[in-house]
Amino acid sequence: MITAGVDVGSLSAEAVILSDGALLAAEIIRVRPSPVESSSTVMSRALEVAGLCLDDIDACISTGYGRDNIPFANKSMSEISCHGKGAYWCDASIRTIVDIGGQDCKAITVDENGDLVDFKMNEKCAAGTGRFLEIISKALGVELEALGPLSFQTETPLKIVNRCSVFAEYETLFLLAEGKSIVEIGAGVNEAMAQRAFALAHGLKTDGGFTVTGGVAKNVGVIRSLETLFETEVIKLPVDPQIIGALGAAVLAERLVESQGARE
Amino acid sequence: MEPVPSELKGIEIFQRFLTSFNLFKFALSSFDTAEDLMAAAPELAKSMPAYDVKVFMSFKPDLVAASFHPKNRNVILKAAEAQAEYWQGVIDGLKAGDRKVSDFCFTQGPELFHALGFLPICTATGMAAGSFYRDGCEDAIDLFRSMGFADHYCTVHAAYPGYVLNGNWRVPDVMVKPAAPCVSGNAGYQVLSRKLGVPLVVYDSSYYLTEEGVDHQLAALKRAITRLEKISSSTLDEDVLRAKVEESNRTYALLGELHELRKHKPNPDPGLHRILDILMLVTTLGEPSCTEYFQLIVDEAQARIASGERIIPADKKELRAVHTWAINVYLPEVYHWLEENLGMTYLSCGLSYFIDHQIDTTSVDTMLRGWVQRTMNFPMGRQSISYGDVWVDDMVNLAVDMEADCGIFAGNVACKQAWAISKLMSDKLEDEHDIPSLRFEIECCDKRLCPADEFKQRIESFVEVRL
Amino acid sequence: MTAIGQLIEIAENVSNPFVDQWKQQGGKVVGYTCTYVPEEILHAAGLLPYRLKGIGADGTTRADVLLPKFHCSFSRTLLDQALSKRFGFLDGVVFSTACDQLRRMYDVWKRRMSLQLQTIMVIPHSVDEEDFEWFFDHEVRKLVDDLATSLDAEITLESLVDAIQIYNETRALLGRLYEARAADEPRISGVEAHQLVIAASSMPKPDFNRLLAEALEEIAAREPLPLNRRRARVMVGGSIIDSPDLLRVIEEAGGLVVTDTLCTGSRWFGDPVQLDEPAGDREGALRSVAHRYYHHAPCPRMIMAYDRKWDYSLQQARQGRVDGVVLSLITFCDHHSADNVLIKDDLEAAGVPTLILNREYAMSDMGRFKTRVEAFFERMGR
Repeated sequence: MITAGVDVGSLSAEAVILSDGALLAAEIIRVRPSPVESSSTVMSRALEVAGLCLDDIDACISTGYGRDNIPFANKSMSEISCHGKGAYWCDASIRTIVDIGGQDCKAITVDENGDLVDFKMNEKCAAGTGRFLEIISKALGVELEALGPLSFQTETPLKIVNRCSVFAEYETLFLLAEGKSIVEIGAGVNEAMAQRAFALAHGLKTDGGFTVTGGVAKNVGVIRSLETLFETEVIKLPVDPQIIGALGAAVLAERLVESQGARE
Repeated sequence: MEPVPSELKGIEIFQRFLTSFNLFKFALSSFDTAEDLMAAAPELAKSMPAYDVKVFMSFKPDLVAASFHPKNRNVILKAAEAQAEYWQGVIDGLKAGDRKVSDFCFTQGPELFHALGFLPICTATGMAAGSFYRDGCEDAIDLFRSMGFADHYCTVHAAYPGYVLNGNWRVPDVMVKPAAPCVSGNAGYQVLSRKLGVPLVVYDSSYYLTEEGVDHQLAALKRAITRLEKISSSTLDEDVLRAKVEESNRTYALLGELHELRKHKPNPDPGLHRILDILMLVTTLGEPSCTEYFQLIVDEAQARIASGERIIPADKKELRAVHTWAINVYLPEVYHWLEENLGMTYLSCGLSYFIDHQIDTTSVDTMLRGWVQRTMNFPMGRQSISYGDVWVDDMVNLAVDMEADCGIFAGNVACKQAWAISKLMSDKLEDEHDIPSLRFEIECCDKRLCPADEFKQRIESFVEVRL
Repeated sequence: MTAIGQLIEIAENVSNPFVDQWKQQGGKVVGYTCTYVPEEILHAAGLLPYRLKGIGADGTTRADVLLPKFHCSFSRTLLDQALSKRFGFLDGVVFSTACDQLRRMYDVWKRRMSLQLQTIMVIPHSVDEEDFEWFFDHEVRKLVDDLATSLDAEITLESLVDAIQIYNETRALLGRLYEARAADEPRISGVEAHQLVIAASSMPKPDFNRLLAEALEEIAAREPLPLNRRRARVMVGGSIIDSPDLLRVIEEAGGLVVTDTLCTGSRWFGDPVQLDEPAGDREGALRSVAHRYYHHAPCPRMIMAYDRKWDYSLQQARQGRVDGVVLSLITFCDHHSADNVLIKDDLEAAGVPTLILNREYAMSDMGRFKTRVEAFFERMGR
């Protein structure tokens, strides 16, 4: 059985191909003007890598912002279900996923089969997303990738009090002007980011494996703070966190094939 | 939120307050200055219990420093003594377990609940954590919010359920509140009622601030009393009520005097203790300690008038400010900062504007009627529950009557219903009385919305530009 | 045009030909905001009661000058409608104190608008019978007096009995509509059903009753909705909804909204007025009307009546045989922020999956909502 999943977001598009449960290909591109074009392009790339053509795919599910009207998809599903399923596929002990992307933040819980139990999404603003870290790292004059390790260079992270990322930016500049260390500020920012995600996910978190996905998952400082706040280890996933949605879609497509087969 | 150690289960926040006030008592009676205290601190810490050290380390340094200032220290010490006694009483009472516990919402005086045989604790005292500690009461607020409730609920009323749910504050036998001040304040009570099964007794607050309105609210209160008597298993004790009310009458008379004294130019009453004023009224009203506290404040103010001693530096021109509804609970020390740095004195505000109402102690009925009238007119309750005109007129009258130079309206975001008339108020002040005002958002128990530096900076800019 | 079509057109516009005709014939229109305002009294006084709506608003810029940003967008929209003269057909308004946002908006409204009648009814915070007596003695009598004084509108026993009859007929017809939408094989969508209810509060009830009776026959003659439009049976609750955007999102995701607990839906028309037969006197009839309004399915602001509010939600969910519940929350809506969470927890415990969605009054960025609704359906295995 060969299935595919395609995730068309607002910034990037991903495609994953599974063959009898094994990962054959995973591709990521920047989005094109239309979701149909994005999905077709990324799908073609994945097929090329896998050495397959579209007819070889038994079922395909599309997800993400641009999931509707994808011509080669049999069905579309929410990125929430797909994200949950994708993380579960990587590690079946996982029950809670916190996805901190560039533009939103979600908390997802799944059951012992990886099926969606509940979810919560950040509604309001940049404060709970990767955008917050981008703004602050710029204010600090630090590369985004270098922000995470700062948490390991100090025992005294500074408290960033402002909830709003705009004001937090001012607060950062103010602290810098006062001569506070970039390390302590950076570590404080990582902690503040983790606290926002904690506030979102705290009420939802269930027993079992816990993981973090999305761009911010690459920030080791945030991960460490989350482990402290949630009092649990964050399971590191074996794949690029950006493909989790498409991966989950491909896994869910397997079920589609099975149910169609059962009907036949 | 930090889990509560088993020995402090149900009393953690009360113990924290007790220890805090004991520390303030000790510090203010043993040292002349904050610097002396800090110099002795490392040595002292060695002999103090670890818990006390922990509480001490959690104080806001600016608050401690401001408390030592000669104009503040006596009153702060007086409050600390009274509060230490009060919280010890609460802890002892909870341990004895001989009375049912009623958590009551402020705008109500504790006298009635004592007379009904309860051990009464005011839910608003949770905000004291916001005032004293670096970390405030945001942990309790966040716990409440993490259940899914909106972050625009009044943080005074969000901290309380957070403390109860986490075990810092014992689950009461009943919660009592009038419908005032507002919907935003009511949510937490319904939550605790549903989640913990605590009986919730709410009686209607009158929209009309008239004699008829008093009748209506009194009738509602009497029905509430019938429900409460069943819970406390005792009937209203007229003698206890009378004793408490006679004492609270003395306190209220002093509040009336204090209001008049603040009209003096320059204002002889410093602003640091205002949060403690509310705290005293919702805890010890009806006790001699409350009367003595306000007597001291009145005496000191009168002495300053007589001697010409100012509460602002000699080189500063007095800027007389009327504030608005939320004393920003998390920054009591900022009023001291405003006095010292800007010469800005704190005339009054929506939470310290007490109308002296003497309760007629002839009978239970007259006493209940007077108690209801006080509840109706309690600062902020009065303005919140009724027409917008009441708020606008009250604040404008205050500003004019007290000859304010400006209005500082650091408004509680949760009072979203109140913000609707804030522009009406500031426009009227400016257009009709040439008194400029500054309006900006805070959230009274959550410093993250407007941290201290930003608060100060906004007022500084306003003073520079407008005054 | 079909009766359904006519009613939908009425629901989609802030005013309509029936209101125009009423005005042309010298009639007066009185706006109201809340299910606690006794409409029969307005009707019996010869007035046309009109529930204030945000339909047709183009933002809130005028209101934003006067109301802060963190004031619920529904009340800001209503004020904007008034300031933009879109409510130009109103001769009066009766607000209520049940909602803090609206009551404060009224404080601003009354300074800015100058209709012949501008008043607010004080609604006690409890459902105690004694507080009802106060409400009746004080607020209902005051309303009757205000109508006479400001609008020259008198109420007789006959006009009241007539009003009660007409309104009970409206309620019965809407009850049948809700039965139809919750049938095993529904023939009307939630969007349409909601619009029919909205139309009811925008026009004279006798005309509405006639049109709805026709509409019910039209519905009965339709084919059942196809399965792909009935992926999940949904109940909607939470903050006020007068435009069906949210229901549209749910139904575009394949769900069907079969019932609700909205104050613009079932809570508005449920519970008939119980009048003695024969009717005694005007006083008794007024009291019967007031009693129904005071004790109808309670608004979230009645914090001592959680059990009643919860029972109502569960009862509506069971009667609708729903697969799940969607509760929406307008930002800064205090009432529903509290109730939604508690109701959701209780519904989930009772085996009814529930989703809470945050929105502004005027919905935008529908894709975001669709994702959540779809995820919710997927969660239910639908």
